[in-house]
Amino acid sequence: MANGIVTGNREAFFSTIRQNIKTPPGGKAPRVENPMDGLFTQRETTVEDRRELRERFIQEWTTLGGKAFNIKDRVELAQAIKQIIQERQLQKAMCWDHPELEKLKLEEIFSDTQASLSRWPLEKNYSDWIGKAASMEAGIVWSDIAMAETGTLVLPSSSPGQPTTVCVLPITLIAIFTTAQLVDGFTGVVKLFKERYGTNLPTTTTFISGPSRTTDIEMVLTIGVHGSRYVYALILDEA
Amino acid sequence: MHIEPSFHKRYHKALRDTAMLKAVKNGTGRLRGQRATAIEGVGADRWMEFRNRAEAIRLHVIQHLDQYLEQLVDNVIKNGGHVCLAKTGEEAVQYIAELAKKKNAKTILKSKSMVSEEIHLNPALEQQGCNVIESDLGEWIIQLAGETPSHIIAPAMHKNRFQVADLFNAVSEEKVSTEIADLCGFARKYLREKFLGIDIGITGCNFALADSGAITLCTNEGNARIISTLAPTLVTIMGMERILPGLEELTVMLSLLARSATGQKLTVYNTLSTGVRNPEELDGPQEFHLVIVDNGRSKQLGTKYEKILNCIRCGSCLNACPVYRNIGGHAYGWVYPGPIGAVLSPLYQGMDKYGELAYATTLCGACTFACPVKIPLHDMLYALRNDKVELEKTGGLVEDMTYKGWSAAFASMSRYRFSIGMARRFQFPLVKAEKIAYGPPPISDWLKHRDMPALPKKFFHEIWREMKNDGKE
Repeated sequence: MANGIVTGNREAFFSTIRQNIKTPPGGKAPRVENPMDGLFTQRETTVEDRRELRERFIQEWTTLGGKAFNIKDRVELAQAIKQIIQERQLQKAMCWDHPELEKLKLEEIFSDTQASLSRWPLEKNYSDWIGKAASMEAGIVWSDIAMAETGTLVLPSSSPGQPTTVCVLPITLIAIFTTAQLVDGFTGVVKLFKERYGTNLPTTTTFISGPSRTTDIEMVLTIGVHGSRYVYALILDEA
Repeated sequence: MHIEPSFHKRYHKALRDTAMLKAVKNGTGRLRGQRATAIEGVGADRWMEFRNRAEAIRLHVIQHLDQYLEQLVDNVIKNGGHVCLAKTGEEAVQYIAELAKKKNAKTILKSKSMVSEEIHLNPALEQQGCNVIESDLGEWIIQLAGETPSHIIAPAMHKNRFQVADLFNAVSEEKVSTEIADLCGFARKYLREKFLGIDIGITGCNFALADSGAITLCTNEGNARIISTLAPTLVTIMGMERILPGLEELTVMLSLLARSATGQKLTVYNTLSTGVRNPEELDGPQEFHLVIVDNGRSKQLGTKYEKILNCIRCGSCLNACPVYRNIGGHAYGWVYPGPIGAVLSPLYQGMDKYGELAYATTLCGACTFACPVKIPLHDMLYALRNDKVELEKTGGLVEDMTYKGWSAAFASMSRYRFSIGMARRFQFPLVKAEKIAYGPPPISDWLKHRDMPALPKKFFHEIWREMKNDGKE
C-alpha cells in the first residue's frame, strides 16, 4: 500500500511541542510497565474453566439485553438458528466467509427454513453490494474471541471475507463461537493480539457488548437506534 | 447560534429555564448513580488503582507527546492514511473543506466530535453547499434545534421528548409520536438512508494508538462504526493529546471511560481501525485522513495546567459539580461545559472571554474526586482565579488595602483577637435578630441574596478556654 501524505508544517508543529514540554524536577514520568497488571484477571484457562466462563458470558450478555444459547451439538445449533429465524421472522441473512462457519454448514440449516442465507461477498463491486447488504435482516459472524467478564464479542476483520458490514448494518446480529474462544477479559485479548498481530493490527477490530443503545432522550434506555437491536450469541461446546 | 458573551447573563437565563434545569438534575443524578454502582462492582481499592494507573499513563504520554505523535504520524502514513497537522482550528477546517470540495461531497455524516464543535467545522462545510448531518442521536437533536451540546456525553440532556418530537416532525413526512421508542425508531430510519448515501464521514477520536496507528472510536449507538465502514472517504479529527502508546494502555482507559461516563463495564461498540481498507476488501474507507489539532493545546504543556491534557472526556466532573447541576451546560458558553469546561475554555479561548468561568465553582473538589485520570480540577480553577486577578489587577486601591489589612489582622493571634473584639463592638447598627442582612458597599452586593450571622458574644474557643479555666478552679 502506498504511503500517505503529511500536510502542514511538520517541523513547526513538533518544535512548538518540544519547546513547551518541560522536564519537571523529578524527571519525566516513565512509561507504565505492564499497565494491565493487577487490574484485570490474568490466567490460563482449562476446558472446565471455560465452561464456567460461558456461564459468566451468558449472564453479562443477557443483562445487556442479548440472548444466548448453550449448544451441545449440530442438532441444537440447527434448533437455535431456526428459533431465531422464527422469532425475528427472518427472510434474508448474510454471513461471513469464515472457515469455522463453513464447518458448521449453515446453508444446510437455512435451506430447511423460510430464510435465505448469502455468504460474503454479496457482489464484487461496492455500488452493487451496498444496497443488498442494507436489505439484509440478519448478519452472522464468527466471534474470534469473547470476553466473559464484560459480555463482549471481539471481531477482528482481517480478511476480505469477514467485513465489518455484516455486523454493522442488519438489525439482528448472530455471533457463533465455541467455549475455546472465551477469555476472562482484556488480558486474554491483548495476549492473543500480540501473538497474532504484534503492532500490525487488522484494518478493523470491533468489540461489541450487547445491542446498540442510547439514553439521549430523557435518559431513558432505548435499544437499537443505529446498530443491532437483537443480538444472539450461540456458544458451542468445544468438546 | 448567537451566544451571549456575559457569563452572568448566560447563567441567569439558564436559571429561568426550569424545564432544562429539571432535565439536567435528573440526568446528572442518574449518571452519578450508575457510575457509583459501577465503581462498587470494581471495588473501591481496585478503582483507585485503576485511576492511579490511568493518571500515570496519561502523564507519561503528555510529557512525551512529541515522540508519540511522531510515531503515530509515521504509522498512519505507513498504513496508507493521510495526516494533516493543524496548529489552529482554521487550518483544520480549511483542510477538511478543501477535501470536501475535491471530492465534490454532498452528504457528509458525522459521529460525535467535540473538536469539530470547537473549530466550527459544520458552518464552514455547509457554506460550501454540503449537507452535514450529525448521526449521534443527541447531537442530531441539538443540530435540528440549532443549539450547542449541553453535556459531554449526553448532548441533548436538556431536551424532553415533546421538544424532540417537535424537532423530528419538522423534518418528517409522517407524524412522529412523542413515545421515546418511536422517536428513536424514526431517527434510525431517517439517518439510515443518509448513511447509505454518504460521501464523506467525519468522526472524532477517543484514543489514537501510537504503536499501530489505530484509531479507537467508542459509541453506544453504533453510529461511528457505520460511518467508518461505509464512508468512501473518512476524516478523523483528533485533539493532539488524545493518544496512547498502545493496546495495553487502551484497555485501562476503555475500562475507566465507560464506567466513569455511564456506569457501563464497556461501551457497546469500541472500534479500532487502522484506516484505509486493503485492496481486496469491499468495505471500509478508500481514503483516510487524520486531522491532528493543536488549537491551544501545546500552550498548556509544561505549565501548571498541563494535566488538563490528561482528560478523556468522560463527563463525570459535570455530573459531580453542584454548579453544573444547577445551571446546565449552555451557561458555560463554549463547547466544553462543567468543571472541565471552566478550565479548558479560558485556557484555549482566552481569559478575557472565559475568565469568569473560574468562579463557576464552589471549590468543593467533587470534580477532582470524580475525575478518572485525577486531574486536580478545583486546584486549577483556584489557580485560574489567581491568574485572572494578576492579569487584570481589577481590585483597585480600596480592595488592595482591604485585603492587606485583613491579611495583617489575621496573621497574628493578638491582632486577630483585637480586630474581632472591635468588630463585635461596632457591628450593632447592622445587626438584626443576630444576623447582618444589609450593609455598606461593597458587601451590600453580597448581602443582597444572603444574610451573614452576626459575630456572637463569645466564640467557641473563648467558651472552651473558660470551661478549661473553670475546670482548673
